[in-house]
Amino acid sequence: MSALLTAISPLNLIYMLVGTVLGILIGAAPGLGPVFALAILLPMTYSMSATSSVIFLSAVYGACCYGGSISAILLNTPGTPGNVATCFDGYPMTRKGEAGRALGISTVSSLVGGLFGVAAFALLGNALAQLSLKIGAAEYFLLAVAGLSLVALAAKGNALKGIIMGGLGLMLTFIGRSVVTGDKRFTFGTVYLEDGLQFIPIVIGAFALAQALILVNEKGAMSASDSKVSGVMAGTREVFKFPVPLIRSSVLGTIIGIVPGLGINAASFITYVVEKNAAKDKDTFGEGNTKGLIAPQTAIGAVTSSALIPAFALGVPGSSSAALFLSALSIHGIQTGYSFYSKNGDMVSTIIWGMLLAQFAFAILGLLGAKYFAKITEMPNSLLVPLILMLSVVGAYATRRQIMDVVVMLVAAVVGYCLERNKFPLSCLVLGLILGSLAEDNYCRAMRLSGNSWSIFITRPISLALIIVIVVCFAWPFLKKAFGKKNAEG
Amino acid sequence: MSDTKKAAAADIVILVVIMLTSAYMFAASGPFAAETKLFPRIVSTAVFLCCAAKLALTVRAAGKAEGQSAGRKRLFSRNQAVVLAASLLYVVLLVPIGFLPCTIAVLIALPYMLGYQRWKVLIPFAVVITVAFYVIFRYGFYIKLPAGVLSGLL
Repeated sequence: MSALLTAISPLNLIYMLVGTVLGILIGAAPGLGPVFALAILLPMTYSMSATSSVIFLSAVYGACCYGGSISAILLNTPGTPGNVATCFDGYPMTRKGEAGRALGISTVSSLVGGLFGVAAFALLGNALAQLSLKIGAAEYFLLAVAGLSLVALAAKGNALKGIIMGGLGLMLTFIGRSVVTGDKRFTFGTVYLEDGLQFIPIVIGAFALAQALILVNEKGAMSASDSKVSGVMAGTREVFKFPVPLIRSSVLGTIIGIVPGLGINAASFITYVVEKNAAKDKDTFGEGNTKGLIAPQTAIGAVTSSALIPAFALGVPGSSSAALFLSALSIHGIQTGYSFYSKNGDMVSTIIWGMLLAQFAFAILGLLGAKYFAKITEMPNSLLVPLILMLSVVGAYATRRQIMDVVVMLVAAVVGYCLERNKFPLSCLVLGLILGSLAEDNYCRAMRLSGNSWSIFITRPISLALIIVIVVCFAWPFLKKAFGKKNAEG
Repeated sequence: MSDTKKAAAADIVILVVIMLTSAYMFAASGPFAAETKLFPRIVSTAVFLCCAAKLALTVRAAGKAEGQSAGRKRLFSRNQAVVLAASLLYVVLLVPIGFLPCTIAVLIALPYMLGYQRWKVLIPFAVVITVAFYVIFRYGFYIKLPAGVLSGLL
């Protein structure tokens, strides 16, 4: 009880509110993202107590990841890299004049996922942290392959094009220095390419600016100027009509979140593809399917809390965001690691209550602001397209202050437009981009650890389980067909 | 050209470009160390083979499609070409001229060329949005956008 009272003290509530507002604003601006938000706001926590600083940063982190969905839904511009999958079904809803509904669905899905993640953090933190210790190089490699094996399933109606795009995404990750040996590959002698192609400019170009090229051919605005932005509350209620996707994405997001190195990008994509594969109406994914929006947003909400579990319980930051949380705690002299939960009882309880309340903070602000955010769809396309161009340029430039990133963004826009126009699925290309380095790096590590023996992949129980999952993923369409024929004959 | 044939022609071009890219990747990775070239070679080979398979299927489907040649559809419309040209100019001039003048110019000129001609809305919109973004990024996020010709003032 005292922990709850501390969490809802006036000062902590103010920190929560400020963190939520800042998080939503930064998240909605493309190219910035949660790592940027946490890094820039970390100095503000120096004067706070340890508990208050974690509550503040949790509010920023959760709100930032949620805020990215606003621009993803309204402008097809993922505010954070993790919101790319939100664009797939969120933006088509906006195009149909259902922006309010989409924002309502996104907000409540993020809330539910976030609450699930906090519950996992509170109840299973230690146990999940121990599980994450069992994930080694072999498991990481197979996780990446499992994610890539979903590529063909992610492609709408054209598995071969999906595989080609996934392969192209993988090929793009080979540009730059090898993650294994550090050798330069395909850099054409330029210093710029030694760091590889950056994910954010590619995603901004391929989704935001490419979409602007489509909008520019359409007269008027995305929605009528006298239309009411309604449907926000209908969207919030609609989420609960799909309990199975909600729970499935929450669980999957939580599990992916505790694996260091996977993060929000992988979680949102993988849950989207799993949900699509499980759905009976999979052909409507990508056209405004509610489940297609619920899945990634729920996963994102779950990851924001579960990703902190290995950081707090083991002292191992699995992501840059988690590392910033650890910095905040170490500034205040709090030791994370194995005894974090047992030695800091009251503080941990207060933090958990604070994280829980932070989820409601962004949900309430998001729902209150939804109809104002959605007003942007009433802007004439002749004004909106230049605005998207400006946002894209700023977003690409802000990442590293390099003009070449903006050039990459432009090239990605043209290429993305041509590919999407000819039904080559960009989602598969992005999946390849996300998982490419993970797969290569961990394959080579696993081979080194095992002395170049492939037995490492079958002698470890989690690896073996993942191999079975991969085989089933590939074989499932054929098995389904065979069972279907047998049932029809029977 | 029927729609199917047009789509097939575009697919063929894209697939050939990807095949050439993967072939280049395979060849260019020759001098690398074994561990360095392993994944590029595996993936580029797989992509090449998938593209070849898709190419064969596409050519076969195009051959079966009916329809006479009726002229090519342009890749980009007039408006799209305007946006792309403006984007290119914007990027080229962003650093030497600066974010403020370039963005104000783009936010006035581009809507006008796309058909929005309400100057009383356009000019304040362009100036306010640009300045607001500059101030937020500079003083809120500590990201200095290119100052260009105004570098002495900003």
